[in-house]
Amino acid sequence: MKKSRRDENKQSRRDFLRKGMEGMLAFGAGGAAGVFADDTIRPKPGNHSAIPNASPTSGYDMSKLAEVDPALIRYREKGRFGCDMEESVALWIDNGDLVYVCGDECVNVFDRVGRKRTTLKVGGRPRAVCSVDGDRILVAVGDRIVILDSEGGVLSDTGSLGERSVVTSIAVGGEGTIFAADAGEKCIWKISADGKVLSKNRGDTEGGGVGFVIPSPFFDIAFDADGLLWATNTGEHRIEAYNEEGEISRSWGKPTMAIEGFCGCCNPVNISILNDGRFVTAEKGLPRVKVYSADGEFECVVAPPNSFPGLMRKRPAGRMRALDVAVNSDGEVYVLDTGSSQVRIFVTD
Amino acid sequence: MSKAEKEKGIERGHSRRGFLSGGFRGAMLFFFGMVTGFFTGKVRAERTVWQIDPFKCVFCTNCATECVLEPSAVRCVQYYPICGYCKLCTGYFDPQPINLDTGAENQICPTGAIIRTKLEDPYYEYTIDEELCIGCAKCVEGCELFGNGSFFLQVRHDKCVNCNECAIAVSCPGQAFVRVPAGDPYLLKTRETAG
Repeated sequence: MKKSRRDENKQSRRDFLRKGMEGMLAFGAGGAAGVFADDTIRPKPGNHSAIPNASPTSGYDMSKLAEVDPALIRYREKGRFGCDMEESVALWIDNGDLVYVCGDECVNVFDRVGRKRTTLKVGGRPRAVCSVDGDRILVAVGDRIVILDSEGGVLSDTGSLGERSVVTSIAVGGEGTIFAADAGEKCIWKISADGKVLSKNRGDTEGGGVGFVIPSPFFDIAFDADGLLWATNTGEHRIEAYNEEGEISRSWGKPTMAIEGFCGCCNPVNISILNDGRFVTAEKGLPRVKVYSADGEFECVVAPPNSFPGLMRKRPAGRMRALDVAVNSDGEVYVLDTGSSQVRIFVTD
Repeated sequence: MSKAEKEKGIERGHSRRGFLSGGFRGAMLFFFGMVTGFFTGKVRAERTVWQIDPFKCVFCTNCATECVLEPSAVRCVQYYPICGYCKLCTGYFDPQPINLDTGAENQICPTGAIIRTKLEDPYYEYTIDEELCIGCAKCVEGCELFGNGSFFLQVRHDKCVNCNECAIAVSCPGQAFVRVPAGDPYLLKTRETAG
């Protein structure tokens, strides 16, 4: 039977579906080609050398800078214990050799071998802790100092010390007078035992002195056996001694990456003073712990930078981390390794 | 081919005319599909852009050498609220500078792109000259490891061509290259995140 012209033009369902499928495939292929064309028309990376005059040795070669002559290392690690906190910040050892570690929102108290005695809760992130006899525990929280009893009860609170205050270290002088190093206000506050501000020391500003130069939130103080208050003027790479009236008496220290000096922009970040007047110092950047004589002469290394791999790496987002140091009554050096949140005990033979 | 076979072919639409018209229709659809795909791809690419997470950057120098642009679209930025205004800036000076002055031999930047300006003693301000900066991260390394980390790298979106497969991202050992919304294209540090 011959088909009429109308019937010839009429599409079968099968034809319609087939053509539709072909059309969709063509459209899809075109679409994909369009998307990838966006990539392919872009330029390709070249291997151009864009660093003129840059020698392979330029820059901070940390592995080289961290090298220390083994003959200078006169301490060995005796032991270590965990701080039982995620983010440890500061360390203190009292007259009874109790070890205080602050961080997170608490202070953990350990005996000299690391057995935990107690945990004191603090309402905020502490940056420093200090206790003379264990009865009164002073904790720096932001811009203030909170004074706790041995059970963690709040005895008093200094209130905000200043608009930009960041208290990073506390020391207690004669008659219980409190001294607080403030990295934000770049000063040392003198505070009565009951928490009233008595005076403010801006450092040596007489005769061309520039006072305390504190670029980073690290500013430490410690009393020596003679009652002199030693402060780390980190931006000047010096340690300076002041009497309780705030007058400077002497200072020492010099900037250098070499082992005998203090590295980077601002060091040492923390200090502790041995019973014989010698200094234990901790640095950031190159995390190293060293001992200096009472006159500031470099003596030896307690722990070289490679002892602290967690601090040799780039830091993650969050608080800047650095070593803290303290010494016990036997002259053993306790180092707070904030990279691993451990207290590490170093002794010399 | 017999007449009967020819007629059978015509019935199935396999005539030359049918073949040409079908091909033309297919080509047109392909073309429209390509145009649509191209613009869809464009729209999709504009929703996010490349940026460097400053906390993942490991100062490898690849940003200076791997970018399709020369100089690279990556530049150093200075975040003043966390800068210490140090006299001995480890982002400006070589690890062992001869003197703390602006002598080229003392500077760590290979192109002299950091301007050191004295404020009151002993504080100095450090400013990046973006036209000279090549994104090599030498200053970032010094500032991050020893200082406050106020120098860090960012992809500058007035320069970046936003490749789908960013050549720097591919070679970045710290996997610091991330896609961020185009409306908020910078990952800046803050006082809180920097400590």
